[in-house]
Amino acid sequence: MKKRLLNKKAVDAAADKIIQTLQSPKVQKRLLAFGIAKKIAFAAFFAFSLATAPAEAAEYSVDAKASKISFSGTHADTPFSGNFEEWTAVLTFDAGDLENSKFIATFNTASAKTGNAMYDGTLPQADWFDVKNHPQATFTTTAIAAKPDGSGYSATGDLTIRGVTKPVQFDFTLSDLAQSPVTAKATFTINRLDFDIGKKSDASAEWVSRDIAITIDITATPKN
Amino acid sequence: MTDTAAQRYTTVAIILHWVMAAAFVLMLASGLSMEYLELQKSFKFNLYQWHKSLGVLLLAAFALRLFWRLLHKPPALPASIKGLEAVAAKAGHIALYLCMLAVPLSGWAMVSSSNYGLPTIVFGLFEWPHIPKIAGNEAVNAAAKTAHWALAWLFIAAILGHVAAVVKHAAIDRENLLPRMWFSCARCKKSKPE
Repeated sequence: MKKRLLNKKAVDAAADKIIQTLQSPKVQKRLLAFGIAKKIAFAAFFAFSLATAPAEAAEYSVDAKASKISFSGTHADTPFSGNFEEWTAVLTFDAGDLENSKFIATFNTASAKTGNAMYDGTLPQADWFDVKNHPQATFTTTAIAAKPDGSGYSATGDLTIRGVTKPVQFDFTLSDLAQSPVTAKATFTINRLDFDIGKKSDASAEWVSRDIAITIDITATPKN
Repeated sequence: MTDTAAQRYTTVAIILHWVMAAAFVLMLASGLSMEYLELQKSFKFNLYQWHKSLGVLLLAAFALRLFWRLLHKPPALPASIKGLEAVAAKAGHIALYLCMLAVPLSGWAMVSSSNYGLPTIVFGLFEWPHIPKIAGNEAVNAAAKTAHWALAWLFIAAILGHVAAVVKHAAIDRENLLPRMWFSCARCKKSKPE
């Protein structure tokens, strides 16, 4: 018999031994656990990567035709209301990332229309919207927070009319984000004198109410 | 007996006289109401718009009246009116013409310079422009307001004097001057009962 470095019998025996070990219940259990552990590790890594990836709050395309920005008040004890007919808005929203969510609206003050010729001829004048010097008014959110009772959200932002900027805060509701289009609604009141509106002709609010209600009703679809 | 036909104003002048007289009474009544009465806001606002609308029409009517007057000399004063009375009659008529022009003009200036900036829409039909260059001018607005108020009272005085004079001539001098400013009719022609 030739002497070999690797004795076939020994190798076979070793191989058998390895197989036996691998097939033993102890090892099998360990392998199973390892497989599961691998899956968990992978899943965890996946979730982790998702969570720490830079957040991309969904951008929405606001449908100005289906939306409305309106205002109302009283004049000579008679209620009046109107809309801004020309405006644009940007909506970025993610319920899980309110810090990066925002709503910015820019509206042409000359487009304010109530349907009453007297009012519509007065609104653009110097003491009211002063469209010659301030053709646009803007609203930009500075913070959006979810209401603790789950009834909606609260927005804080800067409203600029006639070159005067004042902070406003209001609650708004959002329709189901999973459904498109999404609608956002809010109503809040401003004191027109804060913006110098009608300050010279009617500072005592003898004719035009001091409080003007603003309603926004936005319909938007997510940009893809 | 005087020939009233020769002593009558033209028909156009007569129509303008009575229509504008009625309108001025409405203007003064509404103006005084807005200034001195506590009116319900919505009513007061509407009254302002009617007052302005009628004012615009009266300004246009006055332009027509002045134009007509320059082309058609009115009948001479009756011979019975002479001396100081004649001077007073002339002055009274000048005052009336002055007021018919200056009251609506000052009103127009008031509206044009008001900070309120309301457009003048005549009876909801068409827009009457503002006087240019005085929008928001508070000095002009204050002056126009005072002028409008003072001239309105002068107008009231002149109208009362005007009516009182006709009554005085009819009652005291037995001379009815109304036919001069009325349309031809059998009854109107006679200044004294037959």
